[in-house]
Amino acid sequence: MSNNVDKTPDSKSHDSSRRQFIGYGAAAMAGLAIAPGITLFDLAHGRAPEEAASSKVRWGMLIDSGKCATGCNDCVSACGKENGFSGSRETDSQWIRKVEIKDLRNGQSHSLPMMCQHCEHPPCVDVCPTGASFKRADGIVLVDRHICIGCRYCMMACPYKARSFVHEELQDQNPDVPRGKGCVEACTLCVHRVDRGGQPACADACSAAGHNAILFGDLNDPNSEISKRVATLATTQVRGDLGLNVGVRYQGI
Amino acid sequence: MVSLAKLREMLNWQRGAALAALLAVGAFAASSAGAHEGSATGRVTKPVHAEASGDKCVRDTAYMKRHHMDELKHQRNETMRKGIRTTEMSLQGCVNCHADKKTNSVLGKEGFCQSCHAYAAVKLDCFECHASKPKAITALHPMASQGVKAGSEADMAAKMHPGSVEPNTTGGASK
Repeated sequence: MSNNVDKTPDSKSHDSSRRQFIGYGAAAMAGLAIAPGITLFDLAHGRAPEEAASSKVRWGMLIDSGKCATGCNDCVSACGKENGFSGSRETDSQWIRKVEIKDLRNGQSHSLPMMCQHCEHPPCVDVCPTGASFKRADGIVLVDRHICIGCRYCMMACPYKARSFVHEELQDQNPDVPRGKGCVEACTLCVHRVDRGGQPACADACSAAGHNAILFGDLNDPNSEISKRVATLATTQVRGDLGLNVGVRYQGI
Repeated sequence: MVSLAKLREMLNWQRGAALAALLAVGAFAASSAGAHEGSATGRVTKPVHAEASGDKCVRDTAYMKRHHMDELKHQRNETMRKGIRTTEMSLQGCVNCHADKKTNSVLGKEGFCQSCHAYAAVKLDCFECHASKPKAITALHPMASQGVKAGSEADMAAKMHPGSVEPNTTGGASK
């Protein structure tokens, strides 16, 4: 007891200095992360092929609707190219689409891409009767096509209309993205790229076009660019009222 | 004068006889063809497939014949559910090594997978979704070369201009 009383004021100062030190460390780390840019970014992603995805990481995206250009479709076409659908067929899947929204009262308009929001509590997983729809440890929501029976319950459950059904036989798939008739599918956050230390094709295409509206990163890492921006800026979860805690956040809507 | 009913009966009988004759001829032809091709090995010829491009398989042939499906299924669950992407037992690994040099595929009459599955009369579902061709060649497919930039190029561009991260940050912060 006396020990406790004795300790309180002293330990407080110790604690604060320790915290300060950690703060400096974090700041230094952040500096490192920004200065060499991609190098440290890759290091943060880097995971050995035999290492399983970890729940220490939660992949997410922050989309700045202020930078997302009206009429620009680069993320959508990049997604199709990466995952093997061009949109030329009537029944082609749609993993990402551009949405234009307008406030009729003041005429303010926004453009933004909409895709699977990679919910923490995904309704598609709740309703799946076979367990095909699942959330990976690192927060990426996927469909296991080996198990999917194509019932399309998940398409009904998704509040974001994010999922598509493959109606026709497909040929010449990307070896990294197996797709076929009879299954439901949606944005995988380019999981094959993420597992190899890359980022989704849409984010790459957006920065290649110079818009930089899509920021991909680890929401669990306080030093990641995305976490810092989510912590400091006003960001929105679309249909946040549903309490799904989505992984894709929007800024400026 | 032949009644309508009798005519119908006659026609039916004639059609049946014709069918039976056809079947008999067909069966004879098939059996004689089998006798020519089958040689000493039996009714069905052993599958013929192209050589693999690698030196040796990840396990010996006897093991792979017996267990490749179990290994593939195990790997599929590891990759799908946990994101483990080791290449030793991956389907992509099989295809990369075993694709026929002529057709660049594991399917087709002499394709590594299909020839044997046809022989064993086991349905081969993998390639309804998975690519039956190695990655490098698939990238040359017109589908893949459509659009402005390939994904890898965009990747390269992002890596070559790390500065693009910087304005992103400041722009975001000032908003």
